[in-house]
This record gives sequence, structure tokens and C-alpha cells, in this order.
Amino acid sequence: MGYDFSKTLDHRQDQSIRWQQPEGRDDILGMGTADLDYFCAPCVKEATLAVCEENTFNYRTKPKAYYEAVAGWFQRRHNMAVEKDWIRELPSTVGSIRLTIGAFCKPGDYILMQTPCFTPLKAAIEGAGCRFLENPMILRDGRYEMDFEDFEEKIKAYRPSMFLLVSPQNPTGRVFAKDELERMVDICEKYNVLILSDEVHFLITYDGHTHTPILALSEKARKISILVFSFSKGFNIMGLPHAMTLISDPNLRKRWDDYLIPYDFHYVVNAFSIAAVTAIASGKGDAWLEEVTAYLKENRDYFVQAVKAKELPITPLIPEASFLFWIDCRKTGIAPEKLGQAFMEQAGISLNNGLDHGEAGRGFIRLNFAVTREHLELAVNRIAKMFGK
Amino acid sequence: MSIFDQHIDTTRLSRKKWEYEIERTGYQDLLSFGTADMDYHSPQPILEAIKAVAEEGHLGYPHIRASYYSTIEDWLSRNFGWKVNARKAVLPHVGIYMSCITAMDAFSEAGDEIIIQTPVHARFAQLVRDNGRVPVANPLKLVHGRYEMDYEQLESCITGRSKILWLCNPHNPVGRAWTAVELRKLGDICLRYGLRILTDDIYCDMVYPGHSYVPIASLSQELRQITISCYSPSKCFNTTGVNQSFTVIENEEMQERYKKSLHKTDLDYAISTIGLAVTEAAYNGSCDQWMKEFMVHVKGNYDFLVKFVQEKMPGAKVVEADSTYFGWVDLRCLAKSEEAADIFLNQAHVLVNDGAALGQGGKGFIRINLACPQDILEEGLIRMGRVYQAMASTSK
Repeated sequence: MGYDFSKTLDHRQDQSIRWQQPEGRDDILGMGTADLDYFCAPCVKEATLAVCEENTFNYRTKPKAYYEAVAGWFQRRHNMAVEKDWIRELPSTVGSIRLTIGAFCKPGDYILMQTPCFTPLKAAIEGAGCRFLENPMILRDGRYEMDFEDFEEKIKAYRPSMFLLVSPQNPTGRVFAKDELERMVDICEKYNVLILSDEVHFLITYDGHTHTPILALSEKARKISILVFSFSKGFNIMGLPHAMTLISDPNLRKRWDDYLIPYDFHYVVNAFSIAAVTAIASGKGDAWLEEVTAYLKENRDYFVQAVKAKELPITPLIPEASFLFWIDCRKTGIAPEKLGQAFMEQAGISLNNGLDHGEAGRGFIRLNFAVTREHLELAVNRIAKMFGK
Repeated sequence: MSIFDQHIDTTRLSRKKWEYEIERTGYQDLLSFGTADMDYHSPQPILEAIKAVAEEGHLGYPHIRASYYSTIEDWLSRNFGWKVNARKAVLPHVGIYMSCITAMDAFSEAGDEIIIQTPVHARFAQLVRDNGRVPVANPLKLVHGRYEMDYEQLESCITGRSKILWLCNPHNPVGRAWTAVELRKLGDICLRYGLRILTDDIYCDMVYPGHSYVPIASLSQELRQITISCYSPSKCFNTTGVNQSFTVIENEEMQERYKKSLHKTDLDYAISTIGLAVTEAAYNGSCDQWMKEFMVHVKGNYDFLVKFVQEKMPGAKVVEADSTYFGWVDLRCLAKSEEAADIFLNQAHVLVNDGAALGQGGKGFIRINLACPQDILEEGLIRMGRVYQAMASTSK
């Protein structure tokens, strides 16, 4: 291992949203919000320091190297050709999703999503005046699966204008296989449903699971899909806001561009974000990403084994991607509404209650394991103690 | 030599103002006095703040620290005598126009009228239109070479659909930091007719020696209740590439409405760690001296411009300014005044902004960005002077 993931910020310095301490406490483990505790890859530091050296932080243009790097990334890692014309930027993925909904849906439209799902996306749908339509996934032998029958039935019955796909899925950590995605595309194409694919969790995958970008799938998919992603989850650069939207179809592009005119985002080009993204996309962070993935996999496996060994009454699902555990707590006897509070009070851990992810999350919690091993071990011990083990 | 007369190393830069314009025009010897950016490094405390973030190398979701709010509070109080409760009144955003658009969304509806004081930055009218509102001009008056507000015209242009007066203070491009007397008079009209005041105060730190910037909301309890003030360290501290702005809204009910509009774009997760650090460094007092010296330099450039125009561009007039880094030049004496910016670009390879784009009262004027070393300005003016003389002789 060349990189050190055992160190993090002193969270008492009040720099992180996730580690905010409640009044009068300084020992709460922050395991909610989906960012990482690790220091960034050296290439991020180098890229941002290089901008510091230039010491001129005014309006920038996006250099050719940026576009080439982004295209190169998809070519190299996903065998997908991305043209410069496809690329749009906004300062955040949720913002991009919200505005893309605005561009393609009218108030009152249904938008289909698989549940359980990341709450701010539901809020983005409802914020746009649209109606949230659920396609619950089926939990089968500890793994969530698509319910294609329900998917098609819901589309037929409600005629949603958009399917908001989260791929890999948050919070279940599912990496959708190519044939699953193809089936989704077939059904959406058949009923004229636009696909907006949020792929922000695409960077970290385990056990040979491979992420397929929606636009890499087929010409059919490219005609009806918009892809939103960012290098933030994985490289931990949320503090350098930068999300990309890829649109291959020229008609979809035009509609998106027209809708975005009033917001005047052209001037929102953060010099540091561009520099960091260029460095990452050109491959300078590949080795770091590989190592952080290995570290996270060890964290994941350690936690799962520890829970089993200590016979704790909780069941973490095995995520195929990213760094979030979706944990079944239905055997704990704790009221689903009180799960977050119980872990905070009895284990000193702040995390996300499953119910924040819709009704499908009843009895679950979401736990971020992108922490140092030291903190993770502490969390395990505290949870064990909470259950008298 | 003043640091503001030194040329910075530009070999690695890709700035909108320079490298982009050189590529766009194809003129390798182009001199750009266009885009509102400075040709300088940022003040040292800004650089250090950014460097500290970069060196630390931890860029997860940032939490807005107590010091962010207290720094803004102290700055408003120390420099402008305005006491606000920043925790309640301040909300960050990703850019000043995003702040303004959000306010427009919160306090007006499609089809409503928004009054702007022309000539004013072209984006004002454009953003109003793009957002389905109607821009209504309350043109400023040029009185003895200096701009003033036209209160009578303002009263006459207000209708039942007028919702917002969008003020620019200090004003881009005319370079006026409005006085308390002027702002009170304006504010009275807004209060009388039930208009809200949206004020873009991005140039607030850039006033000439002896002049001062007055936040309109600081003038009375009543004005606080109707004002949305927008700030950003981007222009004054040359950090336009960092994307950071904030609003001050003291009326709690208005703040709630603004928040609702803010959520429509869902950019809550787009707060930049570097932007927060820059904001603190810009306003904690450590840059005050730099800003003072910068404005002394700009005033020097402005005086140079005035003298040059008097001597070499007969008939042209530089408008009297007390703030910003713009020279606003009246070329209406020329027959071809409306083509002047094009002619300067194509014949002298000097880029200045054509006033016509800035709305009623802008035609026949040009805007010159003075935030550059004086020798660059001089060279640009010499080139412009030659072309000007040719233009003037054909006018006769």
C-alpha cells in the first residue's frame, strides 16, 4: 500500500458536515453523509497547488486538456466514446438532476424511481412539482433485485415522463448488470420514457462487478438517456464542486441547453475543480483509486465478519459498489422511526435512518464505512456494546 | 514600482479576458480591456487561504464554520457600520448572478416587471428576460459629466406589475458609489410603491480614495425589511474563478421565501471549500490594505485615461467616477460612435466593451477595464488614439 488511509482530519475543527458534533459532545462518530474521510489523492493536491502557483483565480476557459481527459477516461475505463459536445457542467449532481427534471418534465408528471432511494432525489422530484412513483426492489437472499414486472406495470399505469435511475444504486449498493440495464432501456423505449441516470457512485466497485454507463449500452440507450456523474464520490472532492452531464442525443441536448439559459451557468467554472478533474480523468489518480477501493473492501469485509462473529442482531447487506452499508435492523426490536436516534444515543454514531430513504427503508439504517479502520473498529465495539455483546 | 504596475507571468493561464479573446479574435497582439477581471495576482492572504486548503488536501463536504458568519458580520460592521445577524441573514451561493436569479424567482413571478437603471451590465436585462420577467428601464441621467438617478422617471415607470428594483451599487459601468442621500431618496420611492430592492454590490470594496460605499439596507429599519443584498469576493479580490457569493436578507419572512427558491436548483451540496476559505480571507481585514493600494492605482489609471482623452481624443469625454475599475467613455461626438468598439478591435486590436449592449443610454459609449498595469493601458490608449483620430476626421 502506497497511500495512507489511516489518517483523517481532526473533526473537532468543525470542517466536515458529517462530523458535526451535537451540543456538548465531541465523541460522536460521523457515519452518515456520503463523503470519505481520507485525504485526497496526491494528483488532486498537485493540481490544486498548481493553480495556486498561477495565483490568478479569474474567469477561466475550460482547456482542451480537460475535455480530452474526460473523453479519455470513458474510453479507457468503459470503452465508451464521449464527444466534447456531450459534456455539460454544473456545480453539483443533485442540482444537475433537479434542473434536468425541470428541462424534461412538467409539474404533475410522474417520475419513476427504484426504492429504497437517496432522499434528496425524491426531494428534487417533488421540488420540481413532479410526482414520485416507486418501483420497490425486491430483497431476495440478502440482495436487492429489480422488479421488472412492477416496473413495466407502473409505467403502463402511470405513464411517467422520466425514469430516474441510480446506477450503481444508493443505498443498496447494487451494480446493475448489463442485461438488467438493457431490459430497463427496452421498456423505457417502448413506452417513451426518458432515462436520467445518476452514476455518481460509479467509481468504487467490488468483487468483479463492473459498472456500465448508460450511454455505453447501445444506440437505443443513447437516444433516450442522460447521464449525470461526478468524480466526487471516490476521489472525495465534494469541496471542489463539479458535476458533469453527458447527453449524446442532439435533440435532448438542445432541450437541456434551452432550459438552462436563464440560470447563466457559463460563468460558474471553478478553476480548481477543472484542474482536479483534469488530473483525475487523465489517469493520474488511478493507482490511488485502486488502493482506496482495496482499503474500503477490507473495511467492508471486516465489518460484515465482525457483526457475524459478535452475533449482533443487525444484518449488513454486501454492497457491490461505493462505501455505504445498507443494514437490516428489523431484528433489533428498535422502532424503525427511532433507529437513528438509538444509534446516536446508545452507540455515539450519527448515521442515516432507513426511513429517510422512503417506506422501503423501514427497519434499515445506512452507514458510511469510508472511515479509518480505527474508527470503524470503534464503531463495531460501540454497536456491540449497544446490544450487550 | 507598484505591484499593480508589474506584469504577471501568463504562460500557463487560460483566462477569459486574455487567452480566450486572443484565440477568438485571432489577434496575437490584442490588448484586452474587456471582461471584468484584474490582470493581477490576488492579495497574499487569499492565496495563502487557498493554498492552505490545497495543502491540507481534504475536500469532503465542507461544513460552514461559525467563523464564516462572524467574519461577514465583522466586515459589514467594521467597514460599513451595518450590523446584521449573519447566521440568520446570510446564505451562500455559487455566484452573484445565481444569488440574483434566486431572489428574482422568490420575489416576482413570470410577467412581472423588474426595474433596472441603465446603462447597466448587459446581463441584468438578459437575466430578467431569460427568467420570463420584463426589464423596465429607469435610465440614469448624465448631469455635468456625472451620473445621477432619475427619481421622477422612476415613479412614472412603476406599474402594478413592478415588483423589484434591481440596483447596482457601486454601479457597473458608470462607476458611481451611490451616496446615502441618493439611496434614501430611491429607497423612499421603493417603500412608497411596495417595490423590493435587489442590490448587486459586488464592487463594494472598490471605491476611490475619499469616497465610500453605503449598503442601502443599512440606512433604515424600513429598508432592511425590503432589501436583498448580494455580495461576492470575486471581483474585488480577483477570484471570479472560485464561484462564491452570498446574500444578506434580514427580513425573516423574505429569507424563508428566498430559501424555498434556493432549493429549486438544489445546489446545497455545491458549496466550495476554497470559496468558503476565500470569503473569510477577503473579509477578515487582512486584505484591506491591498484593496486601498489597488484603488489608488485604479484612480491613477483613471486620471491617466482622463488626461489622455482630453489631449488625444478631442470631443470624447470620460464620465466622472468614484468607484469600480471601469472607465466609461462618451464617444457620441463621433459619427461612427456606435461602431467604435468594433473599429478599436479590428483596427487597433484593442478590446473594449460596447456600451450599446448595456441598455438605454449606453449607445455611443465604451467601457474600459482599468485593472491593469499603466503601461498596458497607455499602449492601448495610444493605439485607440490613432484610430480615434481617423474616426474623428471622417466625422467632420
